[in-house]
Amino acid sequence: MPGDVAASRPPSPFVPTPAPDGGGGPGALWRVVAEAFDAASAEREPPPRPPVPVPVKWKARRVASLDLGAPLLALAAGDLDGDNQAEVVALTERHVVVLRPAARGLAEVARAALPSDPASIRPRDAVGTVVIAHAAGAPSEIRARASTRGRGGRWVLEGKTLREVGSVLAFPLCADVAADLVPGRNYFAGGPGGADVKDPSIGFYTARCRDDVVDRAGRALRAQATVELGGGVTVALETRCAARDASCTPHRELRVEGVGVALELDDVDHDGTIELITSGAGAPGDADAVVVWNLGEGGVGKKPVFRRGFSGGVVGLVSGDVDGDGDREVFAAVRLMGARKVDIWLLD
Amino acid sequence: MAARLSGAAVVCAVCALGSFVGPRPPAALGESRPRYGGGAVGTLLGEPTTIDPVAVRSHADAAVVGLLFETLYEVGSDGVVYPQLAAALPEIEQDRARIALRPGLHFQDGSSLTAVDVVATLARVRASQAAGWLLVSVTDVTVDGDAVVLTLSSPRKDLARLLATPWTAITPRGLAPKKDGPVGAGPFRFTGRKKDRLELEFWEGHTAGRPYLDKLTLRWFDAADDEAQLYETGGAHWSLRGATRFAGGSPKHPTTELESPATLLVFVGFGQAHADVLADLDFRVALDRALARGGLATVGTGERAVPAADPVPVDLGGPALSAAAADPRLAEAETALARAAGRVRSLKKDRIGALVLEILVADSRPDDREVASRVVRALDKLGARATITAVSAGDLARRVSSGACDLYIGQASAELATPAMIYAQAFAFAGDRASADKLAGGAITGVHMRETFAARLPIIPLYHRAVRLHHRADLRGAWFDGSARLGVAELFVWPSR
Repeated sequence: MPGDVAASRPPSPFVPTPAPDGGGGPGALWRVVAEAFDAASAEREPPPRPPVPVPVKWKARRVASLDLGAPLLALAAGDLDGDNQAEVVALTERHVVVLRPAARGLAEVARAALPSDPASIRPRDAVGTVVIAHAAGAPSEIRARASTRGRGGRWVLEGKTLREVGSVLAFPLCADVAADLVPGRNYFAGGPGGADVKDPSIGFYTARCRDDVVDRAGRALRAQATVELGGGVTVALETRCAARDASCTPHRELRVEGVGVALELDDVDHDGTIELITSGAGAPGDADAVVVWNLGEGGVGKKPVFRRGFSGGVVGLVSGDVDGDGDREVFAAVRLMGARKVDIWLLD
Repeated sequence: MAARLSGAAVVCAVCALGSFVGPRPPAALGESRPRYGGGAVGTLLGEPTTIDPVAVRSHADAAVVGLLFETLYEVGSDGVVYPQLAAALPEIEQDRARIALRPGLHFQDGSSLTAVDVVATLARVRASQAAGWLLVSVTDVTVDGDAVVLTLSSPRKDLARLLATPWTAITPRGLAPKKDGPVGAGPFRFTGRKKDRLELEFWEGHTAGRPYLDKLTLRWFDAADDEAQLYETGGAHWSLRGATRFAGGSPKHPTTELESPATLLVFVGFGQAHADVLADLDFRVALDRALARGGLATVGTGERAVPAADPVPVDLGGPALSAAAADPRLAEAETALARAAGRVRSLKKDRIGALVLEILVADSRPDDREVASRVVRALDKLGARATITAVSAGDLARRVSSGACDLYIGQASAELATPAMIYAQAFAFAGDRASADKLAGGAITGVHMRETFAARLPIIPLYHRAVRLHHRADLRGAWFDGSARLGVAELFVWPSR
């Protein structure tokens, strides 16, 4: 059901024990031991490291105007090449495009065509999702799917080339969450946790996750925001609580109304509370606004931290440390309906 | 130890479950996604006379066929041709074009839509007298697995565009649709027809997505102001003939406007009731020169009207009407009439006064009556008399196709944007398949196309008009394609706050 968010516990911060195949009896024994060790590690809590707040001044500044060759559907950010600087990935109706800082803005460095497999039934307004998945010991990969194609793909960045390394069938919403569209409609079926709902009128527009942040006390935090068909967003916050930590609330749900399909979650100012960065829930083609809400321990702030109107529609919101200075940059992609050209705004 | 820790975490999670409700943003700005549901009452530019794709003639016919049926390709709002039932653009190698179909296609009755249906449909188009000119370059159509292969007599860069026209919409097994229960693969299903309206409902399985509206009522009117009055009083979601009955009025609901390109040709067509007169080229030239086209710019309810003597719209690169041609050129008209009179006795000066021609107009296109009155005046300048007869669109179509009329006011939407195909369409509408085939097949090109048209005058172009949509502000997503057809499947209701 909409809003029935299935956010999982924040992932273990410990790196898995290497357990290669082979090795006969000793190798098998090693793998059993490694698995048990990892299971135990997964339940351990590392010493909390409270975040160190950094001052953030929210201010919108246009940094780039890009012709992406097709209408933009979604944005994601992550370090694709291991240089500790995040790339911004744009998913359009036809391509995956990797952007990096250039001069004072962003510029394209790589592009790959989406799989050519035709979609049987697709929604009238194109829908797309893109995430960057990090796996220990493997290069980070882009997972993306657009409704304009019959399947999605997985790509890795090699130099200035995107190499397709596999396909995805469902729409990736988070690294570990995917969903299918209701056939012919512009929303996903059931709930993002995979609930099997037959009623085509039940669903949600999108979901977004964040699991590389900590709360004020330094406990690992995972947030998952789900935009419902009515325009409300439910944010599930899961905190990795130690066994005897009575002050820790492992699960909270917050709610904000009037949210569009472009949104982002992050602790931009490193104060231990997550910011929910949203577009508005108006009609397609209307003017739009980016609104930043602080999701504190007492709930959603009464007033937004930041609000900025745009004459176009906000089609994508993304945060990432694109310059490698340790702070997150938040970008908004603004465009007129159906346009291939987007304006990229830096918001902090 | 792991199990103990995990259990404790679960207990803690349950006891500490919290829920908070946040505030609402201060304004209703933003960009979400179109919502599904609701219904709309709209209007057509006249009564549709057919739901058979190959028989499409008017703007209303094309609009209805486009909602019930689907084509291999479509022309998007950006003017670009996109695959619709086809999986991709045609793969053309020498004289063969292979078109793969999307997987899992169905008709509205649940039956599969396969390459067999496409081949049968295109074969029917080729064989049809009315629309065969369109595929004159196609010499054969065959099934190739999940694809169709078209054999071409000459390379066609515009093949996808041809296969995006309503005449090529796919029907089950290529058969003519049933009048009372057509089954197509378009975004809407037929649910009923009454005297003045067509009832449709959404089809969930449309390949380009379920339309946003649940139900659609498309109406037409035979009185000039009824459409505007219905809209003004809140009885319709859009009007194509003004937002209010009287100037200075105010519609019940907040209203916005959208206008299409001026590509819909209004023309004088010829029947065979007085075949000796009407088939004479010089008589047609005389009528053409006697028309006061400049005044046609004011016909209608405020939409753009561009007087024209050529079927190719100015908006598609056609020639603009010269200032001289906007006014009657009576000297030229009389000279041409004198030449005609040398061959046709009833056009001689002492006999032409006895000639009475009937001009047919569709009663559901009120503007056409005003247009016809201007044709009457032009004939009067030539010394001939004429009467205007308003008939139902169905009667008009029947009488035109059988030639049982003198003159009629017709419509031709620019389904194809190239001059050759627009000229070909004009000849096809006049029943001159040989010339239509030559033009569509590329046997006549360049300036010769215009010369051929002038030498035959199969129809007399009057003006190109736009379609101006007045719609409720809470009806969103409106757009027109290049042939001035409204993108009804993209309309959605977004309540105003």
